[in-house]
Amino acid sequence: MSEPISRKDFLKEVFGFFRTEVEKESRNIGIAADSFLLPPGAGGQDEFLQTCSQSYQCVSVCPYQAIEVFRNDPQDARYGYPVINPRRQACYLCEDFPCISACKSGALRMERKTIPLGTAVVLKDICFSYKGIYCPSCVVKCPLSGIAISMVDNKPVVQEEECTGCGICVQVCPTEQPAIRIKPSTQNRMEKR
Amino acid sequence: MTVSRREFLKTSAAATAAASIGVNLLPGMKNNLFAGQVEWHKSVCRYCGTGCGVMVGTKDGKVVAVKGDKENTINRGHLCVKAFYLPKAVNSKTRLKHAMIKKNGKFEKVTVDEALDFVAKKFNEIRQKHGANALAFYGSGQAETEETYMANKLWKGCIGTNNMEGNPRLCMASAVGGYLTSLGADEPAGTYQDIEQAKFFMLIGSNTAEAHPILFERIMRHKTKNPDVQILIIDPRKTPTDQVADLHLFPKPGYDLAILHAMAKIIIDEGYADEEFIKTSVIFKDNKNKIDYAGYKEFLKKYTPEYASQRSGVPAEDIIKAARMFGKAETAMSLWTMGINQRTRGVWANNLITNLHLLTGKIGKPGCDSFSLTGQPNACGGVREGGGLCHLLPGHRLVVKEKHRQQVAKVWGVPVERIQPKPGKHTVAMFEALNKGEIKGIYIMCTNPAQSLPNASKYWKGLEEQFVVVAESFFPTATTKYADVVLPSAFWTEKEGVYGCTERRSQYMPKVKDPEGDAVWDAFLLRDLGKKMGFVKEFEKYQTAQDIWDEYRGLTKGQDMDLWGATYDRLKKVRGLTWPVPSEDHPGTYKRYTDGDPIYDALPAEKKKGRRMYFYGPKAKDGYATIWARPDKGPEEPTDAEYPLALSTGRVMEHWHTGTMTMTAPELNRAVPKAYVEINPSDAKKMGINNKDQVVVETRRGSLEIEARVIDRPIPGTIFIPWHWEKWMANILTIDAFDPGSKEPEYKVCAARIKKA
Repeated sequence: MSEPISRKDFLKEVFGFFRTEVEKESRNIGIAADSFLLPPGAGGQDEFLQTCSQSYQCVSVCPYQAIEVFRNDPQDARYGYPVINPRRQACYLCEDFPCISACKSGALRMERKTIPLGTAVVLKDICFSYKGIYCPSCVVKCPLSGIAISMVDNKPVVQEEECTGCGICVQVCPTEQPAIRIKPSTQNRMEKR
Repeated sequence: MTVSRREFLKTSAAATAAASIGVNLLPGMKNNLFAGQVEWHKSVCRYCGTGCGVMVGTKDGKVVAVKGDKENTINRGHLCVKAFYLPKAVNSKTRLKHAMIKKNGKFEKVTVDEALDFVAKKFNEIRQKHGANALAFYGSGQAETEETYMANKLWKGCIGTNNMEGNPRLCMASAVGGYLTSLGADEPAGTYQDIEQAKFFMLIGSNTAEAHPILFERIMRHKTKNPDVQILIIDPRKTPTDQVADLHLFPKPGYDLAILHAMAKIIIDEGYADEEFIKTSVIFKDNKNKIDYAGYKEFLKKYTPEYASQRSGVPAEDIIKAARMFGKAETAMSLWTMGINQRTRGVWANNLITNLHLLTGKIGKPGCDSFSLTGQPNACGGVREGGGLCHLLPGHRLVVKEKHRQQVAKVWGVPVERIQPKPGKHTVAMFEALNKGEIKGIYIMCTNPAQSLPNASKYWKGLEEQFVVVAESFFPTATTKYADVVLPSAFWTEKEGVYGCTERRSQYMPKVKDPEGDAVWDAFLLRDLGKKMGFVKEFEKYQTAQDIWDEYRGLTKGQDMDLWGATYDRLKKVRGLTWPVPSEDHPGTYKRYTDGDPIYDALPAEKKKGRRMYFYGPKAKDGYATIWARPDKGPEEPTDAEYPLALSTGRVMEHWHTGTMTMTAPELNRAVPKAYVEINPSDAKKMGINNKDQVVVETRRGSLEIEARVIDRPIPGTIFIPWHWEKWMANILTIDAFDPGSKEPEYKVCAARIKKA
């Protein structure tokens, strides 16, 4: 232990450890910490990628700047396409869906506006409420609080058939890495609600 | 044993990572990872009045983690998310680390000693030129009992002015008034233990889920286990607390007194009253005079459910249902906070809640109590018990009583004439006097009045013009802006002392790290200031926190809030003691005024004969509690055509008070990044306001541009703003009218209007 440890090294280890633990957990449920969602009115991912003309009209009209252009990973098929990162800014599912109205390519369609963006999933291993810390943040902030998500035995529980996948819970979750994630509905976007 | 660099890195990195989100939080972690690395210390949470036990984890002289104390009876290891992020407040960049004096509008760094010399010189000048009443002190329900005690002595006993107040005036004063007038002595009769034994809860004027999350968790767990437990909520706003509600009454803000009277009427009319208890333990009074039971019934005649419905807007059948729930329940517990206290008739509202318990005899029994929740960790301990208000002296004593002044002056070692027999200026009057220049110097400790006073902007003038000293752990705050001198205070974990929470429980907090920078414990700042002002003899004896506590403990001996048996030695071992604790072998008291209360037990047998309870408090006569026939009164500023909306302010779960602590945690800021105004969708539609629009909220006192949140939480005709942010200061809008009895301002109701920005 005579070898001095630099602050940088130490921090690297700390965060490295953190990331691996959280990622391990994420892999188990198949949702990355920074999972991206397709904008409202999209069909499955394959269809979306083939129809979207990348004009970014939806990006520019979104009143909450929730829709952004995916630039995280050039290897990813979604590279350059519009997506929503709920951790940065969740979707408010506007009443008039300006993003869908703005879409000329047919990638986003009004008749699909009621299709959920995904379903919220609680990561029990890092969620405060499952660790003895009372934290109803996701439940309190959910626009469908008490319907789509509620506190059961002091823990948040998602009603899958009610959740719209808007991601507000992901945005507000006060753990360092979000303990609630949206599992995107990609292939089988079924008509719900 | 040799440890390779790699291994060391791995274990300590894991430990730090785990500690940073709390022990046991990471999957697959083992506790022994922490052996010899993180040291855990038993303490008390810094935030609300619940008094949760925490374990503070330190490593290399730094606070690295906070977890729930499993042995603490209040929270049994549970914590809310605010407490979890406390280490971020301790280690925040916004900590004030040195003293500063303002010269030509700019703060200049000085030593604490220089700053105190300067303050002492200024204060002495003011005292000589304008008299002692030109000086004032404004303290806090977050200061330790020891700190408030020192301020009390310096101002009331040495400088010789009763202009010594604290922010509990803004939050608990009406509850004090309520308990004194109803039960004869301040603070609740029961404890949190009643929660698990109650069959019925009335949560009135309290968003327990967000303001007292751990108590709410206890209530929720109790209800989950016992589905027959019924919960009534009376609140103009739908809040997260509603998830446990069996019935929710939504009165128009400020019009709930009639409901409580109507409930009392139904309880009597339908035979739910405990006539035996009423006969043996209760007297009746109208606003001034003693009346009898028949007179009270006569008074209640007017309060039919229909009348109450017309006043409050709550359907009459719901009021009847609520009264029957209360009446039928085997045991009943009422919990309330600011929705009741922060009102121009806060004392009356408190009385009317306790009326229901006295009428039904649902008090003094397990699972039964009329229980006021406190908002700050030591409002009960330091300020109510410690006497940190302008009319009080330590140990539930009053400045107007000569005997009390003598007792205190003797212990303080000051001439009794020094303590003025007249109460000083209460909070609103104090800041008014600052505006007028009647008070020329003020010492503000551990609180942020420039943001937290009602109608705040009105009082900035006085803060700007007079000599202001602010002792704080954080910089900048809305108040330090107006300071002439800022003194760096040691923060929680950097000082030892006692906090007394809602349930009369006094708990000890150790010092686990050195103060940041030059920061000094507030009690010692006051001690040294006292010495520098010339009160050497009076202050030189205090060398440790225990010196102060022991002296205070002596003053409580034989009082109704007897803490004589709560020595530091004991408090260091146990998870707090609920007074009265008259001796070192006394375990503390669960229920006051009845069997098991040492003061009740010591009463002569003839007094207790045929009586389950004896209200022995200083304001009660012959052991009787009082049922009050208080008139009905609405808010000070009702809505009208010009200002058609009723504005209410309050808390969110993730932030606390003016945010100086919670806003140091980015995670909490992420959860609630800014203020907003909640508007009912029907009102929003009429005004053409959409969710997230910028709107301007106006009252007769100010206007505030803020984001709209269209949500069905406030009832139509009402709006709600959380008050934590300096940038969106809700208190620019609130009204500074106050309860004539308790002098507590009516933060909870004023008239407002909204337009699009």
